[in-house]
Amino acid sequence: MGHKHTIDLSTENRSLGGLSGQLIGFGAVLAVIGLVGTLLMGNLEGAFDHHTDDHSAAGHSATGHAATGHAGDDHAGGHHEVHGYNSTWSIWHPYLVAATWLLAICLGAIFFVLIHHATMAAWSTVVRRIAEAVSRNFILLALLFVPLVLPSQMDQLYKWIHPDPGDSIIAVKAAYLDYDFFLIRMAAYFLIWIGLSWWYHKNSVQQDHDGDLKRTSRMAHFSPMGLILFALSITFAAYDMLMSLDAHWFSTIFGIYLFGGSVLSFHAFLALVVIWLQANGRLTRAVSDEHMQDIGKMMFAFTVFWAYIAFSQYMLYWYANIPEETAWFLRRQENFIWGSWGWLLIIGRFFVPFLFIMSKHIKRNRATLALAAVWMLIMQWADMYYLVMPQINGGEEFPFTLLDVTIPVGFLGLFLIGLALSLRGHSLIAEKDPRMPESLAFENA
Amino acid sequence: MSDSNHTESEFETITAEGSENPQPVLILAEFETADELMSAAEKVRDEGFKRWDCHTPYPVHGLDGAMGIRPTILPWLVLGGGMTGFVGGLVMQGWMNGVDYKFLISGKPFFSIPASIPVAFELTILLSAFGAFGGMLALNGLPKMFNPLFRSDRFRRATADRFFISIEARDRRFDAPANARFLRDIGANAIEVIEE
Repeated sequence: MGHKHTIDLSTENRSLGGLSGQLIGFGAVLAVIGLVGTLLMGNLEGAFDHHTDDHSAAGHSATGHAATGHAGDDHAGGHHEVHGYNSTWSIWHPYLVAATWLLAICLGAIFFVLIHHATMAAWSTVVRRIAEAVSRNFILLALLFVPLVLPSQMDQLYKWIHPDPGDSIIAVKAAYLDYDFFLIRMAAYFLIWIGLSWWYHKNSVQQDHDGDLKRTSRMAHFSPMGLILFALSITFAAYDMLMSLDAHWFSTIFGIYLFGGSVLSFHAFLALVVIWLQANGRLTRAVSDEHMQDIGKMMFAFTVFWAYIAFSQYMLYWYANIPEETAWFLRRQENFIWGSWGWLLIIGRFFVPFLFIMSKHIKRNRATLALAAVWMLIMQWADMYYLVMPQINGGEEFPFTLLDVTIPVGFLGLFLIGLALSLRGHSLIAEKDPRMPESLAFENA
Repeated sequence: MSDSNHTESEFETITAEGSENPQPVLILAEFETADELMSAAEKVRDEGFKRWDCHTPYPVHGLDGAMGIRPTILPWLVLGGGMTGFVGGLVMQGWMNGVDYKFLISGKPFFSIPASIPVAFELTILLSAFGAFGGMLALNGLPKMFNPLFRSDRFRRATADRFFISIEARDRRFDAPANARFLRDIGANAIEVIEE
């Protein structure tokens, strides 16, 4: 349009520079706090005892539910019911919650990269490099998932490994819920995710140097295929990592549920990274209020999307009211604490952010947007907690320990170190992307 | 169909055919480029005009600010529509299913929130959309079958390659010869006064 003066990128501070040390240092502090806290609290909770069977009684007497700790197991022999879901508390439960919490951010990041290439979006070009860097943390997450899939840990989380005798529901699924096949699938997911994030990041960074426009069209050409791979992998990963905690239960929408939370958390994380960079004098003009408003819009949209999917899943089971389908929700509703946790998600993950972030002034203000983003990330953790933890002893106890704080904090520290390593050494912006001038001039109509 | 005469301030006058006692209804100024329009709009705004408008072939970013347009109240209309739909949907189903015509369906409560959410949700969307669409039309004074601007042949280029500012006679600062001089000074290349 000519009237609006275009931003001269050459005068913009667009490299991480000294901030990488600051971010690595902060991440290291968090990681150490997480590690020390986990070791301390883990000892108090008896998490490292080898007699894991005794754990509930020993570690959770403080919760007042010690007596109910083995109720499920005790009944299993005498009654007709068999448990495809019951597990006892182990340190790997909070570990899984923390790992899937950060995995969600990475999944959202690779989706962001793919969808903006597929649609040839221009507004997002100024922040796409950050998404590419975040998605590279799949390497870290693969490492974090390695201990989880070892047989001894699998045994404590996923009861389908050793189903109760006569469990016909799991017997039917035996071909899929097979340990070797599970390992192959997990390897395939991380191969897809690491491959996609590596390829897109590599091409984008190399374009900074050679300015080759073919890279842009190649990345766009491959993105629909990448999206199909992404959709399949996130769906089955959600089934394997989270839904199979209760091997009796099934929900075909479960993958989309994880997807909604993932894209939401990534945009929240992206907003925080950009606000942090700008507070330190990076990208201060390249990323404008207009871009922040669009990131906020995506946070708003996926807040609604998450609620829509969560309710769609709930309503069908509520309506049909078939015992084997409602059991999963029953465990989350008949106990007061988990019932309240469900309301926490309805109010705290939908109504509060929905109303709070509706106004454009909230989205354009860095402080209010950061507040919303932090809240949404906490709610993503609360959501993962709600998917994993009620499986413990059939939801009859509230298994919260300080490990639920120390492990996510430690993992977040590692995540930030990984982010710093991915962001440094090249520009914070896709320098020679042909859509950059359009992105810099972007305005909401 | 229209007669035109040149005066010393050099504007054309277009008068509606068959008008008994023609009075000016608006003054129209043509600009060559969006940049000229933009700077002219800032000056018209600073001069204190209230009832005036810009006409462009495409959306010009930043023109709202140059014209000094206050933020629209449309979002509040949409919010009001949405909340009416949500509350109205729940109340309607509560009345129908829970009070007026109780009918037991597969052992569910007569009125329950989960069963009522889809209708309440759809009504939220529907009334939000009505609020956005109807509110936009009402705030813009639409539908409007005729506008005196259409009497100008020159104005047709507002859909192609020219940019216009029109000031209505209802504006307190309206004064055709003085306004014409002012518009000429701020870069207009043609001025017309439309009478009806």
